[in-house]
Amino acid sequence: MMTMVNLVRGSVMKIHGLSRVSLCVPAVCGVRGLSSTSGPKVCIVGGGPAGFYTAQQLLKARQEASVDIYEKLPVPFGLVRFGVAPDHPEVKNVINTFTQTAQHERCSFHGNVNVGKDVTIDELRQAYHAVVLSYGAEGNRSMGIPGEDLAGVFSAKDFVGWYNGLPSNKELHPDLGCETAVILGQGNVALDVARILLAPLDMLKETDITQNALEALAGSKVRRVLIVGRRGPLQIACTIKELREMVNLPNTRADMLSDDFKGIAEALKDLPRPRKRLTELMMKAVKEKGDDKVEKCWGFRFFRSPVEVLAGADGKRATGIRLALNKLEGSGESVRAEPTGQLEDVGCGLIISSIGYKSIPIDPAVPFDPRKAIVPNEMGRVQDTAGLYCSGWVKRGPTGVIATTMNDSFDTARAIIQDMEAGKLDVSVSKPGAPAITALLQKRDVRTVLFPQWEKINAEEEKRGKSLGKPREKLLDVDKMLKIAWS
Amino acid sequence: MHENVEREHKKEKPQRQHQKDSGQGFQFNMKEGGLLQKEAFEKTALFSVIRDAVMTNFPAATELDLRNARVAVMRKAAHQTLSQTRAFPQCVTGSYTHSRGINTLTNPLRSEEKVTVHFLNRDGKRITVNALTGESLLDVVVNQDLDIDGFGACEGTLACSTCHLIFEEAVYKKLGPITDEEMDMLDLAYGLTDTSRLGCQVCLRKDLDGMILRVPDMISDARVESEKESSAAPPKV
Repeated sequence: MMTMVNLVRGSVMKIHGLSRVSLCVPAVCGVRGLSSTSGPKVCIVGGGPAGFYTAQQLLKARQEASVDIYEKLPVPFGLVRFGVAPDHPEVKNVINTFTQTAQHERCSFHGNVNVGKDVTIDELRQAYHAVVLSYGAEGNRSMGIPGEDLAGVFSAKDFVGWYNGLPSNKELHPDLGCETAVILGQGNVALDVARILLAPLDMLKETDITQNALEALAGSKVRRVLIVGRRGPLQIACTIKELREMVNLPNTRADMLSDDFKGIAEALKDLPRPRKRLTELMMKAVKEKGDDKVEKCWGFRFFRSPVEVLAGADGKRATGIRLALNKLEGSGESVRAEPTGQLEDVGCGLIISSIGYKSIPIDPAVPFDPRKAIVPNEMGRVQDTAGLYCSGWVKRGPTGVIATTMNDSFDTARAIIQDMEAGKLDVSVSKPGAPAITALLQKRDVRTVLFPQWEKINAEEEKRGKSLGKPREKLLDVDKMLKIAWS
Repeated sequence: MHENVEREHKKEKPQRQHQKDSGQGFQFNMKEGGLLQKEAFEKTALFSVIRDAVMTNFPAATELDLRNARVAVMRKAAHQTLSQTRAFPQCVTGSYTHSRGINTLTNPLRSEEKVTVHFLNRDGKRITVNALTGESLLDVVVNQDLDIDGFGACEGTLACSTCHLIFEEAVYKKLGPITDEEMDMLDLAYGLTDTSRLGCQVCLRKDLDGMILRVPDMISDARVESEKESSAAPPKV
């Protein structure tokens, strides 16, 4: 099968979505085949799913449009590379279609460009007819509680970045020497973290999880993972596929509190099918407690909000978390958690807060809503700023799966096309496009990574992975990436 | 060397499998049609590939159960091989990196027959295509370059719901059983109906000739606020 996998990777597959557009032979030096001086030029900030899907749709809809994707890291694909769990390789199949987009003759990828620092949005808007912000959410929501800065407390974003090889998280060194880990938040990211903490090493060692994470997990003493949410079982945000993976995780058992599930069985019949199936699976896990002899366990804890991280004797390291017990008020989708006044302390040495990613403003020239942490927009058109658009998490907030972002990006692309056709976006005026930006960057000593150069990094990672029996061994160092890209 | 098989492919996620470590040699099991089907299958390149790959990578494996499985094979190669051999059910879908087994049809030896399928696209236009029995609906859309935005993002590996299609009730009832895995992903599909299925899991048969499939709308920006109406809270990544 391994040879087959390589065959698939090496071949140029006809991926649906770009069929209408002439697929090109991979560009040799990253220079676009045609020096397109005419036709609308669009710039996309951010090389993740939002950026690629927006580009895809634009290229398909306008035969003369060209699209340039700027990405801060030398490597493309954003959260598909750094967010999707290592044991979910099929979710990463979208990389194939993104690769085709990047290799399209009217598209070019420019990595290692930090928009906001190396080049401003205004400079991009001068060089392009339209600029699309697709830079996602690189920050995270903090719990806002005392002790959050103690050793042993991490954001899920950083923890996930650590096991997925995000360069800025390579020095995380989470201490996995404690028995209990508490995760705040019950979305799919929380379940990913729990699963990676408890998964059998046999399973993990064949994935693209980083080697240092694998080694840390091999020495991990974590045996119990609690996944805490402030509301009840009917409000849980994870989806059934991820829950099923937990329930079926080898060598683990579920450890839930039946008290948390009072009244749930009665509510089942009125639930829509997806919520019903999810809840039924949870109830099954509650009932089938599993063999006590099984060492590793995981469980949800509902109606609990974190109020303080408790430190040990030295005052520097987390040894527990104080939770406030809640009751639910209201009904339907607007059910809220209200504190009862009761508190509960849970001893633990690893605390991971998985309560949401958060977008940050990257350029003062761009309107930003600090409350919602998004760029204010109408259907992808940035408020009060002609020629500026947004797609993905920076547009609608950091929720949803890749397909949600896909739909959203298609919507933004459609808005751009509409504006071009309606004359709202004046594409008759000539714009310089990439050459102008490249010239600016050169003056500032910024060298870009073009797609074929990423492919060298890619080949190196796959080569290193091969000797370890993994699909790839990710490079953790931006400098190493650049060295290989420009070799 | 081949009788009944229980062992499932080790590459599948462990929680879906039980590993059996014993013995030597290989066993393959096919659905009704038994011996004839099996012999024909054994002559195919696909069979050799699977057998060799499994034996090389999983020497402890003793059996491979194909009865309810779905296999991930590269679309182009599979079609070339299969259309020549005509002996193996063509209903294969997915990517190599995540195998799901091989879906056997009840009369695969009849091999390819033409079926006509109509897609009612999101823009109201009807797309009529001729396809072959055994192809999955995802295969049909991809191979014939149908203009359906964003269809099949995960390439048939049950990791998304973008190949969601809505069937006519009478046709829906005729379709094969739906697995938990498919149902799990379908639950996330926008505009889920009682006659919804994922296209990558439905293979064409002669008795599905002429069926009309509706391509459901995707969530569009205007409706994000009313996601609250839909049956599940927006899932986090």
